[in-house]
Amino acid sequence: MKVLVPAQLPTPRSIKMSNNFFAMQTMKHCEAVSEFHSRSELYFGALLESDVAVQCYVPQPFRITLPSGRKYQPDFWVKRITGQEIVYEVTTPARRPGRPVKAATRYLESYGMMYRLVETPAIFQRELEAENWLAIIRRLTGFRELELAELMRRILTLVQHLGATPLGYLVEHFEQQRSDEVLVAAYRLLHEGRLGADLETQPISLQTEVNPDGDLA
Amino acid sequence: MATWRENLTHDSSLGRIADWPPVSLHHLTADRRSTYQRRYRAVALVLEGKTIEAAARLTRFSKGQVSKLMDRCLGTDSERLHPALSLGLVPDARLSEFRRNPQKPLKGGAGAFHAYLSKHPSIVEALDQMLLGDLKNRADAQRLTPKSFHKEFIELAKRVGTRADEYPFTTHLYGREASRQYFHRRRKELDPRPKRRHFRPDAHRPRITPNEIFNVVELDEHTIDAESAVRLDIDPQRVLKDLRVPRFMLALAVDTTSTAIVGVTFSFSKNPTEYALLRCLDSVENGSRVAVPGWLEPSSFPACLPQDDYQQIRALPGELRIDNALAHYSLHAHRIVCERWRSILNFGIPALPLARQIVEATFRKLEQEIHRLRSTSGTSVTDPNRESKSLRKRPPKVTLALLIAIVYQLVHTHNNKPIASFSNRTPTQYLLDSIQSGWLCRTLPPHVRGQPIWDKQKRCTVRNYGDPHSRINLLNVMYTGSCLTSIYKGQAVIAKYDVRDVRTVDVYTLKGAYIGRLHAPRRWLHHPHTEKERISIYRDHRRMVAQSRDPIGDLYRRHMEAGGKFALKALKMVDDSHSPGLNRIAYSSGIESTERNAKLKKKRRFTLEGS
Repeated sequence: MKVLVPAQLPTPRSIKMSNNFFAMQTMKHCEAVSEFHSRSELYFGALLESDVAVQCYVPQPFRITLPSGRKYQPDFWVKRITGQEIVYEVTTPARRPGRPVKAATRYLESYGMMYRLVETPAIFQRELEAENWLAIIRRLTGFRELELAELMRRILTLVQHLGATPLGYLVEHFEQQRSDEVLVAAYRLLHEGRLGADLETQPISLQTEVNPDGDLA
Repeated sequence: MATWRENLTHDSSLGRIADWPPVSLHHLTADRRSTYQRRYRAVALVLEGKTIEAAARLTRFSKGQVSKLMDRCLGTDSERLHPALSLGLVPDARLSEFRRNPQKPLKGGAGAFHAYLSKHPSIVEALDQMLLGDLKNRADAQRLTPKSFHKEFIELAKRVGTRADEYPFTTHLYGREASRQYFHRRRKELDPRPKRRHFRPDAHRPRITPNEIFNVVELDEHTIDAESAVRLDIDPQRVLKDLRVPRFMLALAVDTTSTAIVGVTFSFSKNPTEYALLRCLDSVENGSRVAVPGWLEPSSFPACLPQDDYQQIRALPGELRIDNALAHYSLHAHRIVCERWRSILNFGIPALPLARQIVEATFRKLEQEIHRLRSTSGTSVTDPNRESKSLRKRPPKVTLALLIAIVYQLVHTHNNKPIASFSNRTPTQYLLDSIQSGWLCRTLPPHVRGQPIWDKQKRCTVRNYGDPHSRINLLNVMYTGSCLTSIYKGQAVIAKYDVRDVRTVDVYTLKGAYIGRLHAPRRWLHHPHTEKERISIYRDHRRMVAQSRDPIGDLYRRHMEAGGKFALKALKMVDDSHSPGLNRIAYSSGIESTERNAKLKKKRRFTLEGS
């Protein structure tokens, strides 16, 4: 079987200058810096981070040559925990007709991948959720190497005992720990889907309540 | 034509001076402001019912002056159909459009350019054709600039037979300025293309953001035209030289939520530089404070949230928005933002400065106080108001240190000025209140906290060709040290150094064990110098490097002695290494240093060649 290895293609300066370019570190993409060519791509990356069914993803994964000879670079390669590989193209509704959907689907099927289009209005509908997840990811990447298994276990036990608990209460409760560490531990539990929180309607703050109803709880 | 009394009889509401449109006194000079207030009082007294004589006596005007003033404010004539009201109180304000006397000979003066064009319609037609050709991108059309437009205008003037003692040849500088203004105005009028508006939904839509301090920080640089003086010394003779600094670049980082300025720095270069950007990022991370001896106490002079005063609101930006300046593509800066701060770096949408509107608005506010428009205030070479040659030989009384101190004071004032939309709280109070109400604050992880942002590391191989000491090749020179013994020969090591001073580097094994400190060859140890400086000296002055025993000092002296724009290059050398050890900027009055220079010159008979 043919293999297509996804690895983030470096963005040339001309693209950085002509697009609304974003760069940041993420958790599920192991490169030093993930590069996004628009705000909608950035938000889509954040929403992939929030999805516990996503194992890893790569933005700007590869450049392929379609049977027609056209060079094509999709926006995301996503691997789900089931092993399924999906290639996403983030597009505006106006540009949708110009996307090589049939050719790309046929081409990627030969590599065992699926091809999907995502429209930007659908992403911007979940803007606040994406912004909240970006805030979470920013804090998590800074403390990636920190060993917090014991603190996470204690936080999980406390939340299961108390029910919905504000983040501020957790910081006060574990006052012998640094507030950064408590927040990182709670965020890791959210990221792993072992805790849940209402991130769709409220901006994240110390008043945000975490609950034991995570996706994998 | 109607007198002020007739207008008042016709419309009595004109008599309520409190309802007249307000005038921004802030924009008037002190003299004009005082005259405006006297005039206001005089008119108010007359409108209250006092006689003109009484009003004149109380406001120290003559009767005729008060009478003329009343007509100026409330009278109308064929050119002025509506009363000028409060605009009439402003000294020297033009109430009606200027019309040049047609009988006046066309030698120059106000309105000469338009009078000349109305006399020669063929020139107007030819200029319009040129502009239209350029706007429509015609293949045979010239790509016009104000300079080339003026050149064409002069050619046309010669072609229609204008004599050399007539306008525009009599007042060349005025003619050039008038042609520049006409070029821009007429180009706008003739532009056949519909005005395009850049509309990007994700740039204009209001965004709901997480409750995090410094969630979005915008960073930008502007060139500020304000003349000042700086005193540099020529080592080792200790002879001081005063330099005029016509402009400097100010970089600001502004938090969009609170509008607080969280980072500030300045540089002598015209365009943004990598080091200026790094200094601004350093200022965002650690705060900044400037201390000028003898002017203000350092404690009264916090610039933008200095660390010791505002420790609780010290936070890292969530998203840093910068523009497409070339220096912003610095890899070092990218590493700081993305890998050290773990923030989002955004270059913004091209040609859309509105995407960074908060920082642009902050610049507009600051520039009201310090920026001088080049075309109006004598700073441009083409400006007739430019100061005389004899005066220009002396340095300006405002030293650079004082100017920078003023900028920092303005930044401090901005951060501590109540804002109506924040319920009369200052940006600093707003941030403190946000933290009280549970906003999140993201700081550096503990393992990064001690490392300065200026550190850079490179992987090198240890070389030894039978010498007693091993060495590494880095930044064009060999670094040696007793710690680097022959056991490391052929091994890869990590060299870590401060980019502002590359005289020494710390060397580590690949596993992170500290080996020791290496130093550059002796001739590079005289002055601290930056990585960029070393590379550029090797690139541009390789022959001098081969011959000199002190390349940095020699290049610095060479620039200083050459004077003019080269002296500013010397200033930039000092600017880049920015204080550690290189105390070549003397913070004192420029005039004192000139006097001292004269004495020194007399005493030592110092000649430039002798250095």
